Amino acid sequence: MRFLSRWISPVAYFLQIVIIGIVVVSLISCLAGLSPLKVMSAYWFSAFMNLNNLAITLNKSALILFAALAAAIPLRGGLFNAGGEGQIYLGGLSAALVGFYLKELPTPLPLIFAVAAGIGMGAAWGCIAGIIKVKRKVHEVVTTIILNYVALYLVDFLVRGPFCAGYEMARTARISESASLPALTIAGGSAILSPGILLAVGLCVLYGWYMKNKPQGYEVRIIGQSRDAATYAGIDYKYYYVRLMVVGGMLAGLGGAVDLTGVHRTFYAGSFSGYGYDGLAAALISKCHPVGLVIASVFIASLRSADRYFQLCTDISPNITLIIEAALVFLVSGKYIVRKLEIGKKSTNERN
Amino acid sequence: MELFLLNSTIAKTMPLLLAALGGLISERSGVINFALEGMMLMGAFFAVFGAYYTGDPLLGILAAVAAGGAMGLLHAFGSLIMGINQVVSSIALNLLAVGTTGFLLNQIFGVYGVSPSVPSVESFRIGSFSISPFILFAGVLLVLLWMFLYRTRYGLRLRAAGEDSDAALSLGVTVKKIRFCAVVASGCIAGVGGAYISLGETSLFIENMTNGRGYLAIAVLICGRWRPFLVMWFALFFGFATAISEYIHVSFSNIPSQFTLMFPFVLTLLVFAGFFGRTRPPAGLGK
Repeated sequence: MRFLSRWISPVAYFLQIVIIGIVVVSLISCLAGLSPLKVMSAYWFSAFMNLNNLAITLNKSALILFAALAAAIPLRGGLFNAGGEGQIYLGGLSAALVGFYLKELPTPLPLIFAVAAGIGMGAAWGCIAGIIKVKRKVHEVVTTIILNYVALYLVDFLVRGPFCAGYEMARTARISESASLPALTIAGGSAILSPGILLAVGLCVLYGWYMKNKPQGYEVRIIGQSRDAATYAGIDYKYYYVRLMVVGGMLAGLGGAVDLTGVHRTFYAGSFSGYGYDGLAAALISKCHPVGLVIASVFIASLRSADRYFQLCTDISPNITLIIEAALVFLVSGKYIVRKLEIGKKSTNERN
Repeated sequence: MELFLLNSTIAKTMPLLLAALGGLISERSGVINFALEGMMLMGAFFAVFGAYYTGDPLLGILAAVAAGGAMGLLHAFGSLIMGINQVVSSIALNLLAVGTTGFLLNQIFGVYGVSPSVPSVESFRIGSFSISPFILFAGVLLVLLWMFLYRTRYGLRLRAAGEDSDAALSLGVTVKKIRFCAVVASGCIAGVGGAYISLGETSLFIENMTNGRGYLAIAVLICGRWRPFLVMWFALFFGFATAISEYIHVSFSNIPSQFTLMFPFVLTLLVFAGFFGRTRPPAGLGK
């Protein structure tokens, strides 16, 4: 019985989310004057029903899952890392630059350095937010989003300015073969399937195990549930706050670097737009549950890969993805609508 | 040059000041409001929508107030009645605002990215100054807000709800009702800030045109220590600094535009990093 109840709660939670999603999509399609069934079948087809589309969806899922982990790990300690967006941008750009300029090195080294550069830039960006949070008590959402804008403009300047290599579309030079992740080319299609999704799912499993079984994961959970209790138990929450933000930044930077070296191999200006916030939404929808993170990321990625099709065939703006995300986050987080999944629950909104 | 700087300072200050004053009401009552960005964006869109259909920009501003108020209502409903974490609710509302304005822009105007041009709010001239009605509104609002907060019983109750809701509750203050009203009012004011962005600075709506100014307003609020006049000075400071960076950009065209756009955000970080002492939010904020 206990085994059953352990599994029924997440499944029931997931079903409730699916129902909310269907209701929201139906409402929006009715507003736009389209039949909900037609929209949903279009969505299903363009996200999953063909190897090419499936590969695109999985590549996007990997990036969103990295961003979701980057938000989820700090969230377990009670911190909102809204900075995934900027960290992904910086991680992707630094991987692109390192992968291009170090192409002379022997084979695995450019890839390793490119990914390390992505992780490092993400970590640095997360560290700033963590330190300002601890030293100045400014809420991390404000700092991380302000850091996002700094990163976006900085990257935009670098891609259009000193490192611009494409003239029809602002982009950096293509990284060498030795700096690319080996990827699967879909037979008869143009898309490639990057191994990033395996890496992301692996990290997700590691995250679940670590939080559950390691003392440090336990301490993070205590801080997330009550900072006062953690202080009373002698846990130095300030140290963890900085560390959590750094880990979040590392994961988002890694996501950008993996996506760049595995999928696009050149950095297009604006190509990572919105994924950081998608990841944050995925973390909030799934309440940081490791399995839920994967499901939510694949779901949001499928919306992302369907939205172009929506725009072409039904003339619905791709922005409906954001509306669905927002509705899910809003309805899932409150009382009354969705029965809670008891994980990473936070007792109060602590500001400092 | 002085005239350019003055007008530009005012133009950069207004949205920050209006949004920060909106945030001030909400946060002094104890509700975290990071949804200012979304409230402004909705205000900006519905201002254009109203002005497009009625042809009268003042009715557009009313529509912006209603749209911002609706966002405030959602935030209040979510965080006070549904018990959503106030930060989560804010994040959801910001996503919702970007999504909804982009979706409606396509549904209503049939375009992506930029709306058609609409009549903008006329400013009237005194001598060589042009004074936009928004400035008058902001000035009056600032004084009224100060008087409300520090000179009326309702203001006292609002501050009490924000400092210690249990103590306030035990003295008979209807904390929830006050917070609800404060958050809705906050949305209305931020909506006017959004209307300034779309109808005061330009006369059209561009997707995601608030561009982080809602978060800069929160930074102004934090630096201004949640006090109306200090908030005004900080809004002016940020506005002036932005205006100077824009002036430098205009007069020395070899500086890339990204640096001008980045400047207020970097300045905010520097101010945070170099802040004397610590910020002290209302004690009951978020509880």
